[in-house]
Amino acid sequence: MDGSSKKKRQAEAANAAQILRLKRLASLSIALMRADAAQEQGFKSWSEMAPLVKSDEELATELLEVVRRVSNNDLSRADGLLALHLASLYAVAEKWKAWGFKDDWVDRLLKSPHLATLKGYRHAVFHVDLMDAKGLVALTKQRDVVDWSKELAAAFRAALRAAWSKVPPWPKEGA
Amino acid sequence: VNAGKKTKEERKREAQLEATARVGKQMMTLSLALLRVDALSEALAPKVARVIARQETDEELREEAVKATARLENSDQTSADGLLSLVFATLYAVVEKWQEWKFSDPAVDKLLESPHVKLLAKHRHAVFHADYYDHKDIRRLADQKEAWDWADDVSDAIREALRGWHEEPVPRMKAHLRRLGV
Repeated sequence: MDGSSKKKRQAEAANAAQILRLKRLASLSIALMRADAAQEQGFKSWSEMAPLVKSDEELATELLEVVRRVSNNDLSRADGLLALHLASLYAVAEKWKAWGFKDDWVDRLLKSPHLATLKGYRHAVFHVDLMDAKGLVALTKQRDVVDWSKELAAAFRAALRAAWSKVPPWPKEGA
Repeated sequence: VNAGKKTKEERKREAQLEATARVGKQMMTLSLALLRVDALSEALAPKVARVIARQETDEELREEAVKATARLENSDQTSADGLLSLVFATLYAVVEKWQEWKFSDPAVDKLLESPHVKLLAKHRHAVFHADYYDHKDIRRLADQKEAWDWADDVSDAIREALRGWHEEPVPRMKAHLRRLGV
């Protein structure tokens, strides 16, 4: 076996690894943007109703009425879209770890016990657990999870942008 | 000797009450989950309309999406793409529980005989586990435009069925419990 074919194989392997890394970077970015899209729309609905100051009890009663009509208002839109944002954000965290991405800010935040709460929430939302399932209730009882999730989303965004800034031109597949 | 022991009739009555409470909660849960699908669809509609109005080629749209992805900033197009994926995925979550909890409605059940259900299930898995952006289970649904119309029909049919439950809960509950054998 000559040295040139070995070099060729090594170059192919390096190229394939680079393509995989880029695909993972793109996939994580798209998944984060999906979570962002739900959040952007959720905040829009939230800001429509924010001037109307209501107690938690009033909000719960209103939500129940909307559910009975099976017709959204700003409250149920905000509630639903923010639920999907949080659940989608966990999907990003899951793959960030599985694919071995590293970043000091992100990795520090992922050590939080809130991650387990978010995982339970993801399961409850994406598998439609009963509305009083523990995965849903756990998050509503820990309001600081939402603040932590905002920081986590910001950290992911910063880390992925930094990774994109170092990306060389996209190699040709099979090159 | 039998003091405190429940009769067969009492046990049956208790089982019916428990089942009624459980099914009632399931029906409310399905309604709330469908509202999530609707919230996504409502947010999606104006974005799709704006993208279509631009009359750009697929190539131009693809280029824009690539640039937006590297900036991590949603454009109308990437936002629409993300919301559409979530519509399909959350709709499957509703369908899954509709079937698991043995809800039944002629229009819904007919639509759920479609092979698109499997496609939707795979899409849900790929989206909710942030699989590769070009994963075959994400692309497959995006490429089958008739599946989009079918998904709209499923949402509409489930919404109608659930509204029927809310408007006339007693006959629906009785029929449902009979089907469950309670």
